[in-house]
Amino acid sequence: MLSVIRQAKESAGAPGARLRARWSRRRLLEKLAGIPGVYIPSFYSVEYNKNGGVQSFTALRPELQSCVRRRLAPDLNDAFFPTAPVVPLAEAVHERGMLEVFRGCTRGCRFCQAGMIYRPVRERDPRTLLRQAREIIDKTGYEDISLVSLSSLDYSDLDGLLPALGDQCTLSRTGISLPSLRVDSFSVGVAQKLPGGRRTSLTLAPEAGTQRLRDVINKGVTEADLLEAVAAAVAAGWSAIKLYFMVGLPTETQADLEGIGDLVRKAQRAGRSARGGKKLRFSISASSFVPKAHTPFQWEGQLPRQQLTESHAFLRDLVKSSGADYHWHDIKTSFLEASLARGDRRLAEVLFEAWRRGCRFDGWTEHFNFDLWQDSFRAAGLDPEFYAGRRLSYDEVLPWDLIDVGIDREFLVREHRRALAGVATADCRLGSCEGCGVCPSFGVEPRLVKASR
Amino acid sequence: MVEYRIEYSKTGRARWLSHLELVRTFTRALRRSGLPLVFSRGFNPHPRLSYCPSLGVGVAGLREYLDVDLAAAMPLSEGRASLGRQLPPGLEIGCLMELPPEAPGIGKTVNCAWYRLALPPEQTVDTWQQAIDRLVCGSDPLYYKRPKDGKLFDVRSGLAVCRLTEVGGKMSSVLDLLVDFGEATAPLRGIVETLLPLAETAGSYEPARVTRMALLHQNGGLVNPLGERKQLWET
Ligand code: SF4
Repeated sequence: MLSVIRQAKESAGAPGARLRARWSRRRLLEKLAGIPGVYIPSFYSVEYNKNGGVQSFTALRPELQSCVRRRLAPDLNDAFFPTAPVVPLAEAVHERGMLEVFRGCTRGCRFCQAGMIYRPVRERDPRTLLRQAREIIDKTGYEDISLVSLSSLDYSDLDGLLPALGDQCTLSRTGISLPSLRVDSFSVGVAQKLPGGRRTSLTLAPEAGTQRLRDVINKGVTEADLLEAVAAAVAAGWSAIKLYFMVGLPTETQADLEGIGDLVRKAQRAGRSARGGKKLRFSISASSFVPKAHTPFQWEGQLPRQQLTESHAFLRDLVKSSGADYHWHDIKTSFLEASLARGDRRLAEVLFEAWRRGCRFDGWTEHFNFDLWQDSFRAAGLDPEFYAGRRLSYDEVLPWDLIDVGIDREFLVREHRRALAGVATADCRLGSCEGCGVCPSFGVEPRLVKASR
Repeated sequence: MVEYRIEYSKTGRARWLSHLELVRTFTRALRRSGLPLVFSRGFNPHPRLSYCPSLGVGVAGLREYLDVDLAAAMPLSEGRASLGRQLPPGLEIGCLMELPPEAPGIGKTVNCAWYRLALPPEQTVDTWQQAIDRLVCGSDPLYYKRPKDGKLFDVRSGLAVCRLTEVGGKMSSVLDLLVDFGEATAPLRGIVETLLPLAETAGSYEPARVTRMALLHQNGGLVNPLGERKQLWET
């Protein structure tokens, strides 16, 4: 097996042609292992300790580094981006063209893997983006183009980009959409002005119900932000709002769950008064916290399923009593996700067993069969609870330590401690480096088109 | 603004596109082609296109039509080429025609369709002929109940005329049917599913054995959407 760690184009270009040459499998793997960013699992062995955790990794060849470092494109203006993807004739999940405005997000939400492993922020120039958008529109015929970065409205030169992009979309009546909105009235205002913005449902993600817990997860959103965003949404013509929350976050207490109920009620009130007494439709979606590798919360365990079920049931009653809908993400799926998210290579056996038992399309509830997965863990002699629920200690070797994404372990530890203390950390794009380690270790810098506002 | 009528065929693998997928495919192909489309107003503007009555999934169509509004006139060959380049295999442009102002849209231009059905080879032509005679002019009532809503159709009501041709070989015979579009007309599937048991054939309706040969307007004579007079069963 072969894995290219991040930003494949950076590493894959050169040997691509040679992959087809008649080399033996072994020879091919040896050659590939010499390319930075390529991980050949069979060239490393993993030793386990008696507690079931990872003891150590051993590189099986003298020329290999002790861990595999990801590759990174310092300047995305000349990095490859597909502007003529296959356009399926049948309906696809994402019926739109994708424009990657920037890569990396440094808001520093502590549960978010993408926010850690794609650092630093690297913005594309408006000129590059306008050219790519033109190509996407011309070559795909999609009716919509979506700005698909993590929190796209953090782009530093929105004023330079959006009007010009809007102009470019006018002739072909191409709509511009945002996959998610930051929780503030500014974002709502921007979203309203985008062409083709459907005035049906707007999604906002405060993630947690109290300011304390939002500081723990470093989600820089306040109650005032949310209420202003709701009022702005009403003013802009939206008639339904979806709010996303996470249940089972580290340090969560009953008060935080009740906080969600409070926040929903306040948002409803803000919506109603902005609509002159008419009710605004709210639907609340909640998922269960899944600890992820390479994040400050990687040492945290997921709450037991029983407890998650009770929390969701409590929230459902609370939210429904105020007249909003409540949906929650299937707890068994979240549990399975957690048991895979912090796994080690022994889980390969579980995946194989599950595949042999017929597990397919597990993301679709009608295809998801939890019993088969439990059987598969049993057959592989592993316990999913061990992976999902266990709280890890700082001095343990982690299964993903073999992959170096450039973030210092000390930074993650510090962030974890600050989380537990409820101390927020600023976004480094606003000027001050928070010392995550990525920039010095790759010799790069955050790349903003315009100095911060 | 100029209105064009596009004649195209839908064959090969493209016959498996549903009507919705066909619409999406044409919309995007037109957008890619760079032709100056005219859009509707509103939050979700879409190009002004109109289609003829949809084909069942799996049924091929040799002469299908689509009307499109363009902001400016263009040479027909150029339009045909730029759209043709953007279509997937199986969708092919036959010709392009500029419609006179105030011409009725495609929906109002056709009122019947000629279908050709490759009959399953198990039966002799005589058996088929007897079954068809009974289907067309028998005296016993023949009804088809549409599964999705239980609506009952008189199978004979929209069936204008049909013709059996012996081909020989694997296809044995083909049956041509001229069918009216109308509320009371049984779906093609219903006609076929009524016919097969009459010929004591165990097979079921297979859309891939059906081809829509032409869309026509019947009013005394037959006229196709390009305004050409046609004889019955004339391609
Ligand atoms: S090293 Fe500093 S500037 Fe670079 S991504 Fe990390 S925190 Fe931001």
